[in-house]
Amino acid sequence: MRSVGRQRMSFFIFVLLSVVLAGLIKGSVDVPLGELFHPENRPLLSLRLFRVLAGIVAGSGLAACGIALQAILRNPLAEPYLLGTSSGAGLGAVLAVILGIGQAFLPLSAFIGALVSAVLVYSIARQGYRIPIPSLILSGVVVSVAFSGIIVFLISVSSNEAVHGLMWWLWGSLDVYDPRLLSAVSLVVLAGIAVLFVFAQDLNALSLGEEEAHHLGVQTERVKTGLFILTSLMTACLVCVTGIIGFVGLIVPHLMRMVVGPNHKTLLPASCLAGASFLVGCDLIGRTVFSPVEIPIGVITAVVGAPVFIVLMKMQHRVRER
Amino acid sequence: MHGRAVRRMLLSVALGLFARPGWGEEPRSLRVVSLAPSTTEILFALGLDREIVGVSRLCQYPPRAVSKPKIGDFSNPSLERILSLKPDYVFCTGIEQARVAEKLKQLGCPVVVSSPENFGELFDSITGIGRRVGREREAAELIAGMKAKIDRVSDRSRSRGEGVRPRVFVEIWHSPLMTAGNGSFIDELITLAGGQNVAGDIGKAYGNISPEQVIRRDPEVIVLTYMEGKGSVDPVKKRWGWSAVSAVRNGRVYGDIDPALLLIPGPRLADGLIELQKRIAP
Amino acid sequence: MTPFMRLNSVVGGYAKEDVVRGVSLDIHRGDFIGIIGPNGSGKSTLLKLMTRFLKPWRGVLTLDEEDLGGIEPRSFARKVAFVPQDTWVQFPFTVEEIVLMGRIPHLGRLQSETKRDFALAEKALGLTGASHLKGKEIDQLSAGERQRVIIARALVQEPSLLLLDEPTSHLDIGHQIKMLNLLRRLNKDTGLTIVIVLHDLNLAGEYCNRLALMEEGRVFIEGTPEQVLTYKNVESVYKTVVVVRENPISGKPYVIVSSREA
Repeated sequence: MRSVGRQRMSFFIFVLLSVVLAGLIKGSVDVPLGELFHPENRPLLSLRLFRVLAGIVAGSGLAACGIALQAILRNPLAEPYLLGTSSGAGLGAVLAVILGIGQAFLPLSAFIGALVSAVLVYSIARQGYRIPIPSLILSGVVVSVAFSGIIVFLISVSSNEAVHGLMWWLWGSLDVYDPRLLSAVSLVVLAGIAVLFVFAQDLNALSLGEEEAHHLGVQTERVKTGLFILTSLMTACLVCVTGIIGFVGLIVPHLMRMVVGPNHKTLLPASCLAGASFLVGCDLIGRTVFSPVEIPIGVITAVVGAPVFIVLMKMQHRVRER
Repeated sequence: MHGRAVRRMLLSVALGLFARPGWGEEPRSLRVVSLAPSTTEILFALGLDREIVGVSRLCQYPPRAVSKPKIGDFSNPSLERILSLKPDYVFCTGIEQARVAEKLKQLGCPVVVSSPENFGELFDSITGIGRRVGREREAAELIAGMKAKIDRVSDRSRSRGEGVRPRVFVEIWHSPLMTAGNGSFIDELITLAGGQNVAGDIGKAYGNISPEQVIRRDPEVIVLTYMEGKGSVDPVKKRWGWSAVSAVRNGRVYGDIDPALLLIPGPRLADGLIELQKRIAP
Repeated sequence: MTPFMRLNSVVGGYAKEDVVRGVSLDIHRGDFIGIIGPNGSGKSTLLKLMTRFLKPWRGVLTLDEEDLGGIEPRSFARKVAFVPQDTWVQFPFTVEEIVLMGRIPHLGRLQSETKRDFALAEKALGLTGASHLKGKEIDQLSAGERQRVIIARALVQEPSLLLLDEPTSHLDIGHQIKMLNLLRRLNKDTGLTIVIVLHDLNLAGEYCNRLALMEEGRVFIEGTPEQVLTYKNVESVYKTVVVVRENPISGKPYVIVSSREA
């Protein structure tokens, strides 16, 4: 089932390019490629380019963070929002809306919220100079639940406008049309992915186990802390502009692990390409299928992702039994 | 001679085939998209029809609007659809559609936000829209007509005397119980119609109010105006403790005014005012 | 000759408990040292202190006279390799991938494995009798097969000191002997220094040139198998009646248990 190497990478790149092309041409209105670049179509092209770019950045970023967390926590069920960043960002967003800070500051507020919750999770889990993995997971869950509770409380005591203003957050959206914001986020995420590529070897070692990694010469505590900070930063950046898009960080790593194997040197690039294609594709579906109503992207990733996941699990089982 | 004519003909054919009007150039006719029922009504009232190339699914009035191409629902319209219609202007409202307006602006689409809180602002809004679409005269006429209706209503209220202002409760939604306070359009309508808004002191334009508060304030007239459609009065009358309320005792709970007349800040608001006065101070 | 690794009054353990309560031990290059003792005597903990997984609370450990705490992790991993008692890998790496990870201390982060690395892996798998498992996924192997793969990985690190914590616990008798024979061969032919924790006193006596018998966190006695494996020592530490004879084939001490109750 496994095959590594240039051919596979080229295949993934080809898939990504096709999906991107489809994303540009198709939508609630189909525009042939030639017409796409006419001046009168510029806003539409602009919209699609932004969305495709956001899809690429978010898709690859979430997949890469998912992989890193799964390796650090040695748990294939880990995903980018596990360590509290999503609920922290949500709290920041809700506070921004309630306090009446303009739309422009919402991403910043969400970002700060995400960082605060990440720091909180880290501080709670820490024991001396070590961060035991079970404490990390537990701490992440506790903080997530606590923040979610605060969010619900705040929404219930404030007027309806606050709720309406945040519906898009819960299911995610790739509607990021501010070029400076998107550039900033893209920069952080793509740089983060590059760093993760460099640490592929450490991820391999860590996924064997902390003791094992230690015996192979990896400075486990430092690497864990560093990667944890990096993934929290990347996730915070993404969540604050796209809201919560689930499943990508969980499913894409799994799928790619089955296709190219768990060696992070190939798993990371493959998953980034796959994640990008997946999100751009889901966005396309969300824009097209029930036009002119747009289905939020988090719904599509769930609806497409869940059955795919189940099928894969069953397939794995059958392979095992043989 | 022949050759020149032929060349000229070929040139015009060529120009016709390949020349495409640029964004917003004059010879092309005006194209507008409206994201809210209020702005849709205003545009139609200004005499536009062919120029309106897209409306939201919520836009039901005038009946012509129903057959217009749809760009999605109220809070989450399809930006793609809007942009693909190549509008010269997109009209929308303030609070609920702020995010959409922001996104359209970022994408370089001209957006006009219309968020009037009272008649004064509404008239300014209509004037502004009229100017943008080149219908200043129609706008002035529309405003004049509405002012006339409003003046008639005000005169009637004044003639009844200041001391006789009935207490009015306007119910915007039933669960949770919502009403309109000071600063809202409805508050202004009640005052113009000669009534006194029992919720005038809740501190915000639209908000929740507890049923106990309503009972304590004892409105003499209750008007139901639910966004979703005409409300039925029986459940209201049967509410626990409400049988003591003056409006219920005297059978002055009304659910028969078309909510669009009271909730949509557009041309028909003046008609809504007339209907309101008929119930409050007949 | 200065010892390769020296422990000086080392005290260490977990949380608030001292498990190792003052151990001094000299390990010379070329030694094949067996650490034996009853459960809870601190054998595994001692190894964890030697691999720097635990920091000692008191005392000093040195490698080539350099304090263990000051050695850079990769540098240490190039000299010292560790084979744990049991290992479970969550992700479906192939055997070859697992063994190649032993080259991590030698490879820079951005370096790919070279032909030499692959050759080393091949050789190590051959030595441990696991060549036929090369393409299989680690989570589909039996415990014994896993053990052999892990040992291969340790060998691929090209260590000068190999530490093993009960590496034969999941192996059948045939494979146990094969494993220990391999270790002895590596020790004799390449000078690989070996420190091994063993449960089985007889295997320890058979293969090791020195034994350290531990009791309650301290070294009860240390020396050649003949010096350590006497009935007095064994009875005193293990609190059970034994008789020690000479192994008829190798001449090493052989501990015979008595099942009769006193």
